Amino acid sequence: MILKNFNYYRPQTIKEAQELMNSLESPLILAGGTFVLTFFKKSNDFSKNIIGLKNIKELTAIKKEKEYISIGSMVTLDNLCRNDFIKKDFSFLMQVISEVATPQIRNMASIGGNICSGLPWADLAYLMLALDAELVFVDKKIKINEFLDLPKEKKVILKEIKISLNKITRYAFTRIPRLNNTDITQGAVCIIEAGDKVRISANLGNNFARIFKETQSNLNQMLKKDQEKDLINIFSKELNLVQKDEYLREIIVNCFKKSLRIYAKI
Amino acid sequence: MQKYNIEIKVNGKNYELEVNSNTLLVEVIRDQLLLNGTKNACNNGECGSCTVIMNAKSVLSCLILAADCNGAEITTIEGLSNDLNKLHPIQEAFVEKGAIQCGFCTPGMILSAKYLLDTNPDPSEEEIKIGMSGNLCRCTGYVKIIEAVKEASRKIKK
Repeated sequence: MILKNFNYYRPQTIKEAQELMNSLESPLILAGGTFVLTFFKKSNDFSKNIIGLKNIKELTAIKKEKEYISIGSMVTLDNLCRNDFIKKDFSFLMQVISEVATPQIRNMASIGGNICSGLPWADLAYLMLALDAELVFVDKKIKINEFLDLPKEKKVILKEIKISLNKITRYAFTRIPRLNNTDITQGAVCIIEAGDKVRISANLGNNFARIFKETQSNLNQMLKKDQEKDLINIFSKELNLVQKDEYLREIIVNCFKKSLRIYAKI
Repeated sequence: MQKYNIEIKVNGKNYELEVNSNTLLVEVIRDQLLLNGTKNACNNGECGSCTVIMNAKSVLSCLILAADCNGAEITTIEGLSNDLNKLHPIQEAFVEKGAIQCGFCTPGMILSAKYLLDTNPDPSEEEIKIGMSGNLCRCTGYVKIIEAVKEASRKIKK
C-alpha cells in the first residue's frame, strides 16, 4: 500500500458530512484529492479520519440566479470551464483556469478544495478575491477576503461559491509559475473591472492571496495620466507590508506591471 | 482496516472488488486487475504516467481512492482498441511517428491524447501542447509526440 491507513467516510448529503465533521476526532476533508493525497503520501502527521465529499451530488451544481451565479464547492475546474453560464458571463475565468495545472488535475481538482486548502499557490483564491466572491458554508455566509484572513477553519463544510453577475468590462491577468506553465504559482496579479469598480488581487507566493485595491475607476484615470510608476509605487508599498521575501516581491511587482499594461491596452 | 465493496467497469468488463480505505485506483488496476500498462512513476500527480480515462475524463489514478470509484467506467491503455489484432489510430500514429523510446510514459501519453481528441478533434499545435502538458517524457523531447497527436487527429477524422 502506498498510503498509510485511515478511516474513510463517504457521506451522501451535506448534513451527513457536517455531522461527521462534528463527531469525528480531527477530521480532514477530501475534495478532489489532488492536494490532500499528495501530502498524505509524504507526511507522517496526518488525520486518521478522512471525509470524502465526492458522493454529495448537491455540491456539484452550477446555478444561475437573478443576481449571481452559484458554484457548488465540488465542481471540478474542468466542469467549471465547460459550463455554459461560465462561458457566457465569465469567459475570463475559463481563460485563466485553462492555464492552471494540467488537464488531468483540472479534471479532478475542485473549486472548493482549491479555495479551502489554505495553500499559498491555490489559484482560485485570488481569482475569487478579484471577483469579490461570497462563500456559503453550512452555518454562515462570508466574503472571501474575510475568509482568507481567518485562521484556517476545519470544522465547517463549504457548500457553494457565489459570484455577482456584474458584467466584467475589462480584465488582465499575469501568473508566474515556478518552473513551467503547469507548475505551482509563484506569483500572480489579477485586475478586474466590473461596472465602475476595479479590483486588484494578487497571489503572494509563499504568502496567501490578498486584495490590494478596490477603486472607482481611479486606476483608469491614473493610467490615462501616464502615472504607471506611481501606481507601481503604491502597489509595492502595500506589498512590502505582507511579503518580506525580496525575490517574491520582485516577481509579484513584475506581474502587476504586466497586468497593468494588458489592462491599459484593452 | 475498513473494507469497501466497489463495482467498476474497466475496458468494458464489470468487476466487483473489495478494496481498503487506503487503496488507490492505480493499485487496483495494476495489482488486482493485473493491467500493467498503466504505470505508477512519480506517485505524486506530476508525471501523468498513471493517466486513465474515468467517466470520459482523463484522471491520475495515483491520486484517486479506489473507494471513490464505485460505478465508474474506466479505460486503460489495454482497452483503447476494441480489436485485439488492431491498434487504435492514436497508437498507430505513435508507432508511425516514432513517438516512443523507452515507452514508459506512452500509455499515459496516449490516453491524454485520447481525451484531448475526444474533446477537441482538430487541435492546433498549441492546443496539443496544452492538452499533453500533464505528461512527462524523459526520452523523446516531445516533438514526435506532438506530431503523432496531429497524425492521430487526421486518422480519426478520416
